[in-house]
Amino acid sequence: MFKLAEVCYEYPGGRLALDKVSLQVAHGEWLAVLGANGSGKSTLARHLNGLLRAKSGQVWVGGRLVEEYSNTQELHRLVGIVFQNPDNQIVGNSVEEDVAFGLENLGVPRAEMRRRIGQALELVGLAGREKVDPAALSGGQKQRLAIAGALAMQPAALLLDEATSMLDPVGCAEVLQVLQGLHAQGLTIVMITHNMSEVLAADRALVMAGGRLRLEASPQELFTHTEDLARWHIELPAVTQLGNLLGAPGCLSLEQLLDCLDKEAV
Amino acid sequence: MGAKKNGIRFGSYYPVDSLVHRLDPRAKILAMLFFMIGIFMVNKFWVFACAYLFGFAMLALARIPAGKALRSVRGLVVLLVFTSAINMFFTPGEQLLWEYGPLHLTMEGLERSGLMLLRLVALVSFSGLLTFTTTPIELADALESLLKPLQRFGAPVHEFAMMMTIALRFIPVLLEEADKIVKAQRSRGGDFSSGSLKRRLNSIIAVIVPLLYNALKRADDLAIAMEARAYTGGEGRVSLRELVWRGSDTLALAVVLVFVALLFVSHWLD
Repeated sequence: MFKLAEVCYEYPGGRLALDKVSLQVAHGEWLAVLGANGSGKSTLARHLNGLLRAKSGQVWVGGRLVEEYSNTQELHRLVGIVFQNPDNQIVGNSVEEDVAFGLENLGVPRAEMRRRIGQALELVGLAGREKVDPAALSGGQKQRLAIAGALAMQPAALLLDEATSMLDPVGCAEVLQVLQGLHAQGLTIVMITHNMSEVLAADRALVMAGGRLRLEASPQELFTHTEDLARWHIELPAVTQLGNLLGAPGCLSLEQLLDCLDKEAV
Repeated sequence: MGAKKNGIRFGSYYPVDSLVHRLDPRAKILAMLFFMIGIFMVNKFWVFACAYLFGFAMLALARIPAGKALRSVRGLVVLLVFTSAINMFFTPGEQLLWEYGPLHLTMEGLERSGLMLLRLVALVSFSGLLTFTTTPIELADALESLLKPLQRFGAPVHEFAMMMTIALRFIPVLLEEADKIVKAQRSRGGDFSSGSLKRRLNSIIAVIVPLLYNALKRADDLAIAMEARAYTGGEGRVSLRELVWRGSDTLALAVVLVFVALLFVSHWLD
């Protein structure tokens, strides 16, 4: 779905945000991208749907170089993105109007628009809330609405740029559940996150620091690199930290930790 | 503040189902515009009586209590009293009733003052017929549609309507934010209700500056989010909300136009 080759990006002022980043993301894969603030995660995400263009190197989306897309609308349709603050990305004055926003921009006929709005709201569990004012939704519901807005455009991939960082645990769980359902249906997901428990849902995890890719591993393997992760200011999940202290390293869930401790006791 | 957090309602929208509510907002804007022009043409008390009757009939058709419409006038009492007084005491005339220094009360002044008062009350009360029966979003859509011909001359009509829509969307968000900032300032000893004027102004500035900063940050984020959802301006855009002009809209507009024509005719009657 995505391929980056030696991509560099520098913000005005000279800060190098991406430094020779190369990676591939397969169709239907769920990739988690981790890193401290300023590590280049969000810049990477914005290269994947054409919001930013590489200063050097090449980016392929859906098998085509981003420069080959005749207009950015096509690229934005193909790759949806959900940002951190739900209040700053909802445009519509009602749930259905907000989901419709992208479709309106693409010039989709009204009947088709209504069909897709219904489908998208069904997928994120907001069916029946079409006329509700977004201001009346909870944080988790707002983020699900933002996901519905992207899904209605029928993207091949969904980028989540710290989309759960402003949500409470209930909101995070709601969003994660929706993403798991979408992934099961074959949607490619690239999730930028600080939340270690979310990494566990991914197929693969990348760690970024100083604009570079530092580590690539399965979520299970990732947490065995405790020293490296600490160096890049990435905190391990609480259960993994507890396991390390109790001499049961690499545990990703309470069940695993209890199993390990039981085995040790035996 | 007329903003309502849990609905798409701002200002004075009165959510009931009525014939007037169901009319196309473009018809309502045009009808209101003609009616207002007609009101300016009225120069006789008996014609005002007819105009008020017509206005109250429209309010009844819209299922809006007349008291609610008349209450809109409350905020303008000072203006109404001032305008009436100016007309009453400074209009020259032949039938002098009372005089004191530069002030003189004449029959002509009384008549002119009365007509002005009726005109202003009618304008304020019956303009509510538009805002009571039409949501701000419908108004934005209707304005975009009505002003569309100006696009040919380079007027940014779509952008204007989009700005209105987004402003409406962000009113509750910014109100909530202002509330949070006020509470945060209060929790740190900020006082907005006592002290000298200078001190109060300083307290208000401490709310406005972070509010403005956050609003600009939000605007920046929103612009990126809109671009990410394929927004490139009005060209080729299809709106989910469809304005449909029906026979009832033509009929309503025709009724108002005929009435306004009668108001015009009455202007030249003896």
